[in-house]
Amino acid sequence: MKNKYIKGAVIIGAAMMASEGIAAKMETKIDGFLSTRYSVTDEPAFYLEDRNTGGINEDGSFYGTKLGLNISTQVNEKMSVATQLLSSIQDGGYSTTLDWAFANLNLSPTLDLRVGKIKYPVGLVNEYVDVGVAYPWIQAPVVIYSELPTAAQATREAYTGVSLLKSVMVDDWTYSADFFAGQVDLTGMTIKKLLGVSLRANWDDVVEMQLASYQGTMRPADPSTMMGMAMDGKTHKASTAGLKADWNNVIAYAEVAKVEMDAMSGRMDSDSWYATLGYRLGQWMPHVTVQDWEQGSGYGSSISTLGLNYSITPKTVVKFEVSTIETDSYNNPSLPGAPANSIGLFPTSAILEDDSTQMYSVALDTVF
Amino acid sequence: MTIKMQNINKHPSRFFFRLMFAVVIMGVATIGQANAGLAVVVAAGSDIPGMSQTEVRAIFLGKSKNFANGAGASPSYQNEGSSIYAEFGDKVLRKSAAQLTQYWARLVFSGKGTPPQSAADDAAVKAFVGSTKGGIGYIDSASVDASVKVVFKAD
Repeated sequence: MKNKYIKGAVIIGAAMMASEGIAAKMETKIDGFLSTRYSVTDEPAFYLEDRNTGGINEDGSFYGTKLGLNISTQVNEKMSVATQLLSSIQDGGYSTTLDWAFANLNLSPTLDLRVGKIKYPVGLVNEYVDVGVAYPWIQAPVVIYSELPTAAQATREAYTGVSLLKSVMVDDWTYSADFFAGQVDLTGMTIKKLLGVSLRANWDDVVEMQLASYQGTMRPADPSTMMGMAMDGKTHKASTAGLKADWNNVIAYAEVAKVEMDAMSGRMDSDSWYATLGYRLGQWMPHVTVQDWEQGSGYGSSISTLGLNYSITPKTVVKFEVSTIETDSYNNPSLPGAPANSIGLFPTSAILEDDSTQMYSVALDTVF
Repeated sequence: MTIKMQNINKHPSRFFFRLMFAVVIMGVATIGQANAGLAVVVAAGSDIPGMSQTEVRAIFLGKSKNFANGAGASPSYQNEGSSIYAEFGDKVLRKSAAQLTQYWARLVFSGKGTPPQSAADDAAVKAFVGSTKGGIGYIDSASVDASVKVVFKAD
């Protein structure tokens, strides 16, 4: 799978270079970002991922460390091509994948057609969720921005398909509507017949609102397993609503998500939300975030985070965070009398020593 | 200007008065130059009329690829880190250098846009707008000459 992605990137890169030979004025740009993160908890059980995939526990982890390289080129007045390679900690080491790659055809000054592997436009920050410089947190709120099987799965990293993006400016307002269709490829699962829409209203980059919704049909790689049989052919749909403000020195984010899976009697359905408030004091920015996630199965989690950012330069930020992760206790109805189990955003094999976990994180985010 | 040493010796107070006067005039001129403001410019022969700040912001933030008359626009910043880059961001785009970095990071790394090219200085901007179809840039008002047409001023 990884080789397929790399081959795709090489083909796109070669196509860009070939196009460059044809269009003398075409300019190819290379940009990049690096987010180096280190987190440690007071809990032996691994948070977010398991031992093999670099999850976070009391031994500490560089989970979330990422390097991205972006190549874009304007083929002609109407068409541009862009791609992004992402290297991140995976499977106990670093792995490079094709994050996204698509061609953009400018049909009119306000209408674009995009074809390829495209960032998922659901969620305020999802299209640049790996770029730490672009938002205040070390990691975008996991109750919405996580594809992990144990998480809400309200949004996805990317889809392969087509997007029709309409943008209109009226005075200081910019309105946009992104209609998208295609499929999402996940580990062990493909979401087919994907259809969605993302609506945004932006006032002078001070206030931004987003409403988004999508649905697709789940096709597990192995439909013979119990989980596969339960999900095969069933609908997965989600909706999000978000508000972002950047007014004078005040930064605020608030977002809600509702996920519905037409499977397992609503046990995978979930509701999640978060709110963030920050204040710029010169190069410093203290901020606070509260997150909550409740799943139909009884799993759930709430996370409170205090953060402090310092802009070393306009392109480099160092961030510190302290989080308290509260994990709901869960009594399995099929095992009456068994002790309560806590899972939340910990892998399902986790047995927590305490329902409350402290996490300390530091990050260095830069773009180049 | 030739300074005759015998004149200085003959009228030292008059010389120092003139020297101080010249220093003050030069200082005022320098301050005036620093506060001359910014001029958003296109090629001298362009038929682009005056622009509003909203129109200028839309083009330099990549929200619009065209001028109000429908002609394609090709903007140029000046180098990041230069004082005029920060001044243009602050006065016209209403963004600090850090906010401008965040703004373009969100667009670049989602594949939705790329920032304008950068020119080294005022002379490079003037050369760019003179040689590029739809070229538009910003320079210190004191650098405006017959090779460019001012479409927006920010003091």
